[in-house]
Amino acid sequence: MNSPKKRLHALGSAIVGFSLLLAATANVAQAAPPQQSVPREQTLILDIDGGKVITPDLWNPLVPGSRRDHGFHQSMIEPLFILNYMTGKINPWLGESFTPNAKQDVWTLKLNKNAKWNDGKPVTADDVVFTIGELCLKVKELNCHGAMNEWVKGVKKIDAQTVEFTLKNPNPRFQLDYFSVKIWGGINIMPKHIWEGKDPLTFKNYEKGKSPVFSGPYKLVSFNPDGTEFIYDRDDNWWAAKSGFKPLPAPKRLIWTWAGPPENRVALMADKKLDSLMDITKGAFDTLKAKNPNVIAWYKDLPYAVLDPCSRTFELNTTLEPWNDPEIRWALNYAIDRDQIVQIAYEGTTSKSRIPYPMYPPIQRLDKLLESKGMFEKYPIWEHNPKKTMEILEKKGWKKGSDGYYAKGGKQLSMVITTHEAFIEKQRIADVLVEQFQAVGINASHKKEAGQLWGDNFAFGKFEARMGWQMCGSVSEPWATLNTLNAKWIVPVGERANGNQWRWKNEQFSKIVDQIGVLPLGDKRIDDLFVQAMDIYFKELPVIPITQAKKLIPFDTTYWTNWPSDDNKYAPSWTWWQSFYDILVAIKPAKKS
Amino acid sequence: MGEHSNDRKQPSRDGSLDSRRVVLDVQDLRVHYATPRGDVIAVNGINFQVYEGETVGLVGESGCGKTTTAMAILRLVQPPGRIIGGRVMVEDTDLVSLSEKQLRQLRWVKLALIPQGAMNSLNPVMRIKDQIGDAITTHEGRLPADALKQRILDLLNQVGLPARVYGMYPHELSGGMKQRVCVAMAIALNPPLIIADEPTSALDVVVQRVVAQTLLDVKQRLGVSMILIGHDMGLQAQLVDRIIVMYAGNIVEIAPVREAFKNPLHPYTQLLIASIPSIKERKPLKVTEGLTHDLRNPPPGCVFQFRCPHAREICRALKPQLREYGSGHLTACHIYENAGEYERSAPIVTTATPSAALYAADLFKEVDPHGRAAS
Amino acid sequence: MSGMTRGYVVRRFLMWVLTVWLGATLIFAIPRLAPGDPIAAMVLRMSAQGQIIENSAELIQAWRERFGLDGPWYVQYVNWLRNCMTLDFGYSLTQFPARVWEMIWRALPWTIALLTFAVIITFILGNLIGALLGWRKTPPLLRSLLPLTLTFSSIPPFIFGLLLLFIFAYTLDLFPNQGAYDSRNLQPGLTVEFLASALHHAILPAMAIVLTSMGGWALGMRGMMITTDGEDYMILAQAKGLRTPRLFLRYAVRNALLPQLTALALSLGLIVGGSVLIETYFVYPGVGYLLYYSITNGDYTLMQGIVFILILTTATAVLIIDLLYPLIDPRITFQKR
Ligand SMILES: Nc1ncnc2c1ncn2[C@@H]1O[C@H](COP(=O)(O)OP(=O)(O)O)[C@@H](O)[C@H]1O
Ligand code: SF4
Ligand SMILES: [Mg+2]
Repeated sequence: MNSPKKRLHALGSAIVGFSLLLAATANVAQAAPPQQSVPREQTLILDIDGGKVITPDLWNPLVPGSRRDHGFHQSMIEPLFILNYMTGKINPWLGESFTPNAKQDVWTLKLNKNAKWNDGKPVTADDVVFTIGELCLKVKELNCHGAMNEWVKGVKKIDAQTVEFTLKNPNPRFQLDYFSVKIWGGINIMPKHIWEGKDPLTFKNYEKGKSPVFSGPYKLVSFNPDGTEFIYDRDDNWWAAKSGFKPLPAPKRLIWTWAGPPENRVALMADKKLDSLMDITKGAFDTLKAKNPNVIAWYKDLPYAVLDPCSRTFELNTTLEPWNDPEIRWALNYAIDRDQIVQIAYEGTTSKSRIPYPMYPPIQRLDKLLESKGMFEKYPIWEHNPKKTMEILEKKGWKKGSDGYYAKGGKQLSMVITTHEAFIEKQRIADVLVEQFQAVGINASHKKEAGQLWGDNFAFGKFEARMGWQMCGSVSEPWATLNTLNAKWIVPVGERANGNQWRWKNEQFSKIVDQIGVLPLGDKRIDDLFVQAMDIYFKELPVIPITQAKKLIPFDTTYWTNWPSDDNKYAPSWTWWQSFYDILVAIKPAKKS
Repeated sequence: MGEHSNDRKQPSRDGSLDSRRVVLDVQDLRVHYATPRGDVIAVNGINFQVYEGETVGLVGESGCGKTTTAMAILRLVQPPGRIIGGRVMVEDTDLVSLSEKQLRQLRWVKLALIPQGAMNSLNPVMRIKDQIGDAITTHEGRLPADALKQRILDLLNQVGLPARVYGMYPHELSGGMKQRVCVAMAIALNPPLIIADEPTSALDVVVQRVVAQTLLDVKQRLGVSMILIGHDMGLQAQLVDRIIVMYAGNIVEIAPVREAFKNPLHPYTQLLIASIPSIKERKPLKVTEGLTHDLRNPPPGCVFQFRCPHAREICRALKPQLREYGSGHLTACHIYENAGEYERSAPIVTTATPSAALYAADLFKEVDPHGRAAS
Repeated sequence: MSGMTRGYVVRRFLMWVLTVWLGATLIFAIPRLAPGDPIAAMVLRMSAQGQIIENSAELIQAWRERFGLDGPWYVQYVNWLRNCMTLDFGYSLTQFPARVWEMIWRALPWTIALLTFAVIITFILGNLIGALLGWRKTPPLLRSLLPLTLTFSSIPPFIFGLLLLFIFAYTLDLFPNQGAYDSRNLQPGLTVEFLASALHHAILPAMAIVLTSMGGWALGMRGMMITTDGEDYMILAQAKGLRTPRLFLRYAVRNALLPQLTALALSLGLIVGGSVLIETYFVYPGVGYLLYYSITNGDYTLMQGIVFILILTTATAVLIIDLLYPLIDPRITFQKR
């Protein structure tokens, strides 16, 4: 009875039993699976962009740990407005209009009078005043605090549908930047009757078996405790459909799912178990198309991919010798062969940049404007001319040594380009740049840094050169990107900078930027100021535009059609942005039932 | 199987022995160990018998092949060793040619072992009762639990071990106790023959006596035949009836124990006996200086020629055969086999010193375990 | 008798305390010595949605206070040790307001279940194969086939996992490609369906671990078997005419296994670490995935919590094995030397 073997057996089975029990019981406190099943052709299945949701029972979008890209802000939290990337126009959603006074420091928001929460209560000015005034302004740790606290002096209810925002300073982009899904998402309004009296930092906004209260066309039905799958069913009482503002979306059910590494996800889509995927490589796309011919992307052919709002830039620390010299920066620019970068680093899936902006139609207009002013002749930014590089370097006293590298005063001309270790795309560009600089006699090298370190080194000015996208900001108007180079951000190296981390100081440029900053959106005077600012930018070239960024987003037309594409560009393809509502109400079932 | 039974003519030795039944008949047994530089000839065609109730001593210095002989009899020679030829007849069966299964069934029933190195002979993770018990149940089938327990306790009692040993693990026992457990285990199935390989060599002198006494008791009580391997001549003198002397894989002398001590024939045996300093102070056998031959390459002639103080030319040329000189006393040496030619051939100078005086008579005065020459 | 002396237990327990304390201290020190400011990174990540924020310093300060990172290091250290004792590691840096313990607690059962399942199979299979390889009486055909089962050992487990996924999940569609159970249709609970589904989901990731790691056990076991085979007790056991299975199991394997069990306890930490990528590839909701997440997202509080739990469980496993060892190896008793 008492033999050690038997005791060992007992121990073993106790462990197995214990762990199974644990596995079975510890996870029970989650939502139940959906009762009724919905056929595949009425179900839209999408990929969760940001990976598994670590705390799936957290439906409070204001805390830093919250996730919104698992269908939360694409089907439940509605934005006030949605920027149309193609036209640059801001379209209404929950909000009907948002208008500034002449000085751009008082903004009046009018809500859609038909807007309702999914529990039937109307969306009103009280909700807006509560969210901005009581939550965002008062609670420092909420993710809407930074932006609102920077601009908003006060919020006031005018009537049931009208709210007045008084700003600390004029801001013509107040609506654009924070309330119209310029990039990814925006600041959202919470239902006051649900949130009042709750601690907004610890409120989970979730009760088992119930959908949280928001205003979108879908309600949460269930999710799994692993946070890899979220199921939403259509709310046929959706206010926008009831009032005729928008059609009822066609899919009865939405499933947002996370299938792990790219290989898994591509395989799932090839199996028609996913209707779209977040950014994939061209190779993966080719495989996918071969297996599932119904898959499409933005373009029918190369580059396939749709334009991303952050263009890629080669960035220099302008406090360091010799990169503080604009002529040397131009010498670098002449050494860069952008066509080669597109071919090698991107396999032809993107295009080169001559301005640090994403080339959406409103920006294309600005690009044409610069062209018409002869800017690109004056500043031949796309010219790949190593001879000129060498001429400039030699003029500046650099001499090529026997090792093939330039040197001055015994110091070799070298450069370390850093990249974020997680971003392969930028690393590939950096690798090509290293080759191109080496070819002209600059001893360039590439170093990958851990993301957080890379970010900190940037903020503290502890870098030499980097491959990044930090001029990102503008998508429909010129100011936000220009403002990243504003001298007002500059702090000494060693202190954390909130902007202009390259520490490029140009008073005249900054003055123009500040001038644009207070002009109303679309003001005629902006174009001229923009050209003046760009003249200085090109002359100095503190940050060098390299390429446009693209995202290859495949859609499956087996079950759903009318996806956005170059032929039908009603919206960009971002399924993980809050602007997804535009796609949701547009897609149609492939087979008529 | 039947054709090589032991009804072959036994060499006549001693009248009293002749009439007894042969329990083990080893015939021309050869064991080689494979090594990278050729086979080590560890046992080189030996012949001997063990009679019912008799204890045979197998002596010789370390490395002469005693353990190998024992293992070969049990067919347990470990690789790289293997049995090259010969037969091991137990009753009417040749163990060497049995199938694994038949062999397994005969083991322990016909032939038990008390192993060398009592320290590691017991499985450290099994209780004593289980290790004795499994020998019994394997051959006799399952027994009622209390019957088995009683039997094991009896066995322990027979070897003078307390009942508490029953539930103990080997590491909880002293060396002497462990060896007595081995004795208990060996007699568990009442086998006709037990081979004890240096059963006391790892023990200190006092414990050696206790274990030797136990063996003696058991042997006398059960009348079991026994092969007692050892290089301890004193112990041999106390315990055995006949002595077999091995040298480099060959048997050089077989004699009744008294004869062996009083009148050793073979020069090697003479040296062995002479080198016993005193009965109380037992040492491993180390007879003379000088190297024995490489076991891979036995020379022609006598195996002992390199160390024999009496070696002559003939000893190099011709291998002496084991022959009987007197009742039951056999040896392999040219001094006796070819006395004339031996006298004529020229002496060879060896590294050995001439033989010393014999103390055999003293030895028998001190001890007479058999009660044959009471003093 | 294998009586535990109190001294032995106390000594072992003190060793355990010392190990855990040292581990806790290292976990405390390392992130503080590493470059970068996790709080600042977290604030920037939170607010950086195409906007520049002006008052980041103020926000960073607010968060630093909330995470208790504003005091001098010794105060933080004492707090940390207290947290370790109560297993309350506060908030997750990236998942605020989720608490670290809550996140770990949700993931832990899966990892324990998967690894227990995988490790037990690995240990049994690996040792069985090793035992057969090292056993003289193994039939030659079997002996020549057995090394085939070890060919996967040279493949990193996660690559092998991908291979399994490709073959058995995607091509043959025999097993699910991800998750721990069929979460679309089932609810966790003590039901046959749930347990069957959990088992079905665990098979591929477990196989990835089993097939790639049993080689190590097999080689170790083979060596131990060969050593054991030369022992005197093996010869005596043969002389007793015991049947082969008994010789193999009770005499050879039973003895050869002892060092393997010690090795098992010591390798527990490694096993958990090694499952990180497996859990990631199979989207298994365990601690390994959580650790991967915490590292890639710079969630230091979560990372600290997980690593501490790993140290704690490994140290505890070693302690338990130490205390249980006399049951396994009767030679070890807790007597003072
Ligand atoms: N495993 C082995 N490999 C090679 N030779 C061996 C091995 N075991 C024993 N021998 C050889 O066989 C001879 C006899 O050994 P053994 O029977 O153990 O002698 P004894 O028991 O008389 O001391 C030794 O000389 C030794 O060289
Ligand atoms: S045969 Fe010769 S060498 Fe051999 S023992 Fe006799 S005398 Fe010595
Ligand atoms: Mg020996």
